[in-house]
Amino acid sequence: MQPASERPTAPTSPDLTVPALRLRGLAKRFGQTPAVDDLDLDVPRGSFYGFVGPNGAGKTTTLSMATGLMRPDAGTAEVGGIDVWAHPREAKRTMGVLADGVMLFNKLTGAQLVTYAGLLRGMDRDTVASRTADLLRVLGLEDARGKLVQDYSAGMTKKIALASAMVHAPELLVLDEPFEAVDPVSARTIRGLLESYVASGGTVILSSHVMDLVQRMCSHVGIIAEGRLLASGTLDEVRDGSDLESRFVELVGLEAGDQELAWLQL
Amino acid sequence: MVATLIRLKKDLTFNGFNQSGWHILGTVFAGLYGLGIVGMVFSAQVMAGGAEVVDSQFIRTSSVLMGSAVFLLWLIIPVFISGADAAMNPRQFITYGIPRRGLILGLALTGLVSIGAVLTLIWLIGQVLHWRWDPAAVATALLTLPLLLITFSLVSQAVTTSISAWLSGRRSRDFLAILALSLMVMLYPIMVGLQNAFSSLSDAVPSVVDFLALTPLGAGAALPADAAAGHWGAFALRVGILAATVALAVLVIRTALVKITERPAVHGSSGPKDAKGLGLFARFPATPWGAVAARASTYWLKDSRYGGTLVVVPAFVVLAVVMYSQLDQPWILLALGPVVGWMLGFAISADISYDHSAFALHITSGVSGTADRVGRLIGLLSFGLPATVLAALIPALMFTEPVTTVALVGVSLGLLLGIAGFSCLVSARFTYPVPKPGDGPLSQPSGSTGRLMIVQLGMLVATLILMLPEVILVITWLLTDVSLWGWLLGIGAVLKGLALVWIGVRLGARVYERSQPELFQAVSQY
Repeated sequence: MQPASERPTAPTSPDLTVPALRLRGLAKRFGQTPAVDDLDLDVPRGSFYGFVGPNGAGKTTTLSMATGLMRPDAGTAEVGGIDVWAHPREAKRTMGVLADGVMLFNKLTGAQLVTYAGLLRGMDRDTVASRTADLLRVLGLEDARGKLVQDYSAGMTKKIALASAMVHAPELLVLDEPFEAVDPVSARTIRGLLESYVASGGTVILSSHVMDLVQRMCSHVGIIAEGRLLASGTLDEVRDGSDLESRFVELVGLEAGDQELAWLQL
Repeated sequence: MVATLIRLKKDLTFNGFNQSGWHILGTVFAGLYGLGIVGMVFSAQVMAGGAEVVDSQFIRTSSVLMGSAVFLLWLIIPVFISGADAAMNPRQFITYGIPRRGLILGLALTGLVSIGAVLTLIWLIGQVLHWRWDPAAVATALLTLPLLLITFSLVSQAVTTSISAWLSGRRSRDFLAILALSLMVMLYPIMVGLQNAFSSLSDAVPSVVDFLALTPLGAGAALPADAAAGHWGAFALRVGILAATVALAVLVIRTALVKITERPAVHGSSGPKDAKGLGLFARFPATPWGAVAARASTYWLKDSRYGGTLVVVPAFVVLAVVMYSQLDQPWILLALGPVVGWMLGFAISADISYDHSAFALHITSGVSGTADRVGRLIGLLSFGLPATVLAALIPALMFTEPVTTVALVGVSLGLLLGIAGFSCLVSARFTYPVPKPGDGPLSQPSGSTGRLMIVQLGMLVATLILMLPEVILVITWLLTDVSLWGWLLGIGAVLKGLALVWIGVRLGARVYERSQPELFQAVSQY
């Protein structure tokens, strides 16, 4: 991918021992229910980190607190050693975010939206223009560049959101459910883009429900349930000989019930 | 089936109350307001029907006019609230395979589970009492009571269903809503035009009533009058009109349901196809604040929620000119500039709420508070400044001397800048629910009334306090009649506006940076 080679030298020298994302003691409760409970997490630089957990486990809450969208009750989040809550602007400079379930400015065209994201980051017009063109081409959105985002399909919307998150060539990409509601063709495009980004030295953390996908793509995995991190490490460490889905179910536990409906036997 | 649908509507209504206290408060307010009006109408009906010498012509006139108004409300209200989230949108029943007859009847009857239906019922009972002095009329009123109620509900459902079937595209719905909004503002000029067509209002009323009584609007309400007067031919004619209306409504609902359930819409692609176009992003400076300003201006042009405000401004000007030509009150024209400046200044007070969760982009890209505040402000001023100056210059074309013009333009601009600056500060902390992106400008977010009223009332009081210096200067000027005060007013108002904008942006930026996540969590709930 072109933009990767044009990445400006980061203000902080990339110290390889500092994790790309480090969460310490992160906690958030909604009323009486703790959503995230004293969570520690390290995403090593250059890793492709899969963040998995059942619905309502606290994935989105954790990632929201790591990206500045939700203020934690306690704990810290650091991006490349910079505290997100103490120095938000510096920390956000090197981070690209695709949040889950948020709208886009969908009265803009695809090209306008990516341009907007670039200009908001303070990039100059020419760089934004050339990177926007590159991203739209790589993501197969060239024909739709002049179409309003509100008329995009679900897959196209995810792709344009990803383009907006990548236009400033971040060192860390935080992607919440990047493959949700995405068709296999778009999913493959996104995967290809992310893999080449990681190969060139970027770091990705993505949350997902699809174990198969995480197992195929990711180098590292973290499993979260009920706001706590149950396991984390490299893919091989976590799955411990079996496959990820079995390990996941083993850790999280099956749902109650005998899983059989007498009247549904045809 | 019908019973199930009615139960569903009841559950949806009550579950809505569980969401928030504001929702209950808003509903109670709306209900009390409606009840107050209907209560007054009701007592008037009772009194008119019980007079010693009954003026049958007057009772017929008021019945037909009220009946037409009620019918019109049932017709229009669905246009306003037919957002995507209307509780009983027929589109939501596609997958259940409900028999069509049951669905039509069910939807029509669920319309009766609403505050509006209760208020209408009170009015209809009032009608019965209105006609209690004549046995034939009171019998007619009593018999037509359920018939009219069901007619209203059916017609209302026909409107909802056909909007859902044929006008579900955003553009056509936006267009409808803006049309309705402009019509509302233009109501006065239209009335004046009608009034001029006849020599005076009282001459016009009989022919208007006779006309309405022959349309579906007033036919039902005119029935008792025919019965009282023994005009059985006209009576039969109006029953026919009413029956035809019901039949037409059922036919429309039926056709629309067929369209919805059997041919679900395929969202066609629409929108500009220009290959290069970055639109306004190419016009504004390539900086964070320039980008925010470009985005804000794009939304002013493309998003009907903002467009609604833009349409009101010219409509307002027309309204003021017409009112001035009728009433010959110069203050109506003089107030134009300040009012436009004031309205536009307020227009950005809900900017972040309008962004909804798309605001996440501003947070995750680390836009500075100053860039966000200045961008939104410039987006508004880019058209708000010329619009305000133009509005303030309109009276100058007709009568005033230079000093008045300077004072007017100054005060108008000062108001625009001052209120906009104030909005910059307030909107960085306080948000209120607004229509969601994609909804029309008139669809009301649920549970909003309470909080909306409190935030807006607070802002109103604060702006009145901020405006005190101008008020004092105006009074001094008027009392002393020394034109120096006028010059001082004009120039001082602009300087004060500039100062307020500067303070608003500075403080707003600081507040914004402190409260970003809270802002985001609040607006993404709306």
